[in-house]
Amino acid sequence: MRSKHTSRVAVLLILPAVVLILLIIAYPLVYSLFSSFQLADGGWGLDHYQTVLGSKEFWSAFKNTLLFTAGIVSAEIVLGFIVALGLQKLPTHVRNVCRGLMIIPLLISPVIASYEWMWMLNDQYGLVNQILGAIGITPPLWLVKPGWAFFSISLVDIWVSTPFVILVFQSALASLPKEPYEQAELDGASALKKFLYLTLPYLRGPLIVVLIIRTMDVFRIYDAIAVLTGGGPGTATTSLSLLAFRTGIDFGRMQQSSAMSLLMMIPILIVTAFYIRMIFSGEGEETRKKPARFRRK
Amino acid sequence: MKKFRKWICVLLSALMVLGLASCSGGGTSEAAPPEGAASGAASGEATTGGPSINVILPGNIEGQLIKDSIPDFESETGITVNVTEVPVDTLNTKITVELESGGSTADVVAYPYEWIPKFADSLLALDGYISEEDKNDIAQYAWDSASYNGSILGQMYVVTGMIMFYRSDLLEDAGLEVPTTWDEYVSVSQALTTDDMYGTVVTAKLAEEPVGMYLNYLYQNGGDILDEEGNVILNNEAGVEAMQFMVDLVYEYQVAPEAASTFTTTESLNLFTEEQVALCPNWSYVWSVSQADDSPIKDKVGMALLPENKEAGISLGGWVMSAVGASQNPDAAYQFIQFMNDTERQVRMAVEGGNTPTRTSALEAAEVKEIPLFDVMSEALATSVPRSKYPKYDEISNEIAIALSGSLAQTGEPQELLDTAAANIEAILAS
Repeated sequence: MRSKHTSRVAVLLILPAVVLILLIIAYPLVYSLFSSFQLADGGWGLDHYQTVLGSKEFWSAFKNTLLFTAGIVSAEIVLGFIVALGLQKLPTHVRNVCRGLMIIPLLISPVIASYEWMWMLNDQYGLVNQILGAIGITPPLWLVKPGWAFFSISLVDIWVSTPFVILVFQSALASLPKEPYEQAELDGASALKKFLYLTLPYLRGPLIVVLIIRTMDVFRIYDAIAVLTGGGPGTATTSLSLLAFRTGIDFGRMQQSSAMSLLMMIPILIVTAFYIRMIFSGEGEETRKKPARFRRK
Repeated sequence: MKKFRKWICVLLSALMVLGLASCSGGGTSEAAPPEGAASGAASGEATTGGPSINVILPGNIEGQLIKDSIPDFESETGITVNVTEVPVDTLNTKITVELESGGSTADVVAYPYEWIPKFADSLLALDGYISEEDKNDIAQYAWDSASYNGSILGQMYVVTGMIMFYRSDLLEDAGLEVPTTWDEYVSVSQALTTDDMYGTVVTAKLAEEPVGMYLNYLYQNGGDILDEEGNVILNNEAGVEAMQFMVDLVYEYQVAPEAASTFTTTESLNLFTEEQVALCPNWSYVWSVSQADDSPIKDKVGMALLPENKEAGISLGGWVMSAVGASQNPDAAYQFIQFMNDTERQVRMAVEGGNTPTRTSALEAAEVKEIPLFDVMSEALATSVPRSKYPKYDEISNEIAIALSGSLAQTGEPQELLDTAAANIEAILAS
């Protein structure tokens, strides 16, 4: 009796959210799926996919996007991990203050952050160049040469998003169980061993969550590129999102843009499926092996 | 398994938060309707009983000047105007979505005129509305620029082009004349380049606007993007030479900043007003900025036509106001466009916004004649080439922008990059 009533209330409560999600996610997705197959003459076909897959711009943007994703995500994970471990060693009140300060980049809109960095990296009046100049380093023209432009865009994204990674790792570190560590202590395990055999396996879950979210996010990188370089010089920093936006909005080729966006989803889906498999395989290993390793002799 | 579920929950909640956050970003900031306007009223009848129209204006100086004239329009015509002000950066998106969605409530849209070919199918042809008097009073280049496939699809309310702004004090001190040819341009720039001053400036960021500067050099060198039959001739000798000249100003003659591939004319204007550039090819609005009371270069600026190599020619820049084809109130929409382009409004745009009037009657007004800018501009605009003559200009200019920014960042040679651009433009035109 109770369960029937509760489930009806539950359905009613989640209904608005489901309708909203259907409207803002499912409808545009289905619409763009249809439009990507719709031809100019009113028929249906794969022409738009053929055009996109046959264009050099698409593959160049695809390569750039992969490089951005690999570079930015790995930098964020390494940096986030190091900072989170460092924070763990600080006294609680200092840690809280640091954590509060680190959230600031997350609160700033990525577009605003990109504009801030654009000015900080400006070759005439930029703060970064002033500081480098003051310590005797000749600064590069950050946004002029393709390599530096790539680096500058990555820097902005890392600055904006690493705090998120730190927060996830930090909360995972804070919730680690004490017993295995006490046990390891009794067994005389070194700090390195504790890190390798306890901390790292325990962080597997959060690491995969961070990997999934950040990979999906960076794969859609747009703001920093649009503000800092507009995709240039040449096409050196044009990402898939920027190309899809230009194709659809600037050039009015909505169907081609839809095809491009849907093609973009494939690598994201593959990578996500791979990560999720990692979680499943990890689950078994964790429960089987870990207690055995520190079993009292 | 419990732990796995926990992390899936964390993942899903995080995704939801990120999703919501991304939904809230990127929107256009729309100004509230003016006081007294029926907020959210659909096109048609206003709450006051008279007709009402919805107008999309860009968030720039000219957009503001039009907004300022709306109360006069409303009291004279009894038509209520609801304004949506959209930042220039997102204007293309806004108008594209409005016109393509089919559910548009906009009656009048204002935008850069080179988008006319793209929006042509959704716009109202104004040929039947325009009076003979207006046809004769407004310059022919303004009608040509606002036309597509033989129909007039709007009225240019801003026309602009690049001219040379120069530091008259520096030229005078050095005993130099204003350059009129490319060779003189190089030698004067070299003479004026010092440790704290660049002789001139080149703009080549990967964006639509800097392409205007390349087109000027291209036309001055006798080149064009397409020939009369519509064949792509961008990568011929004239086109390559023009781009090479821009590269040479930076790297060979070293008279312009190396960061050219990150510059639009906003950056070049900053350098000019901060006394770091002596010769600044830029749009006409620079005149009013440089003459502002707090400008360090007030009274030290002169104006001339851009130097030419083989012939005179500049790319015409400008903004147009069009009536939407699906408007419920086409008459009121045209009335609005006509009112905002009448002689009185053009004089105001000229005096307060530094915009060159397209009406002879406005050019002859005493307060307009007092401003030296308009003599030079009228002469420059007479040699202007409209961008709306190129179908798919957005895509064409994107290809040129890629070649231009690549050349200025030295990722390739102008010939090689323009060959790629020309091949891509051919494919774009064929599709």
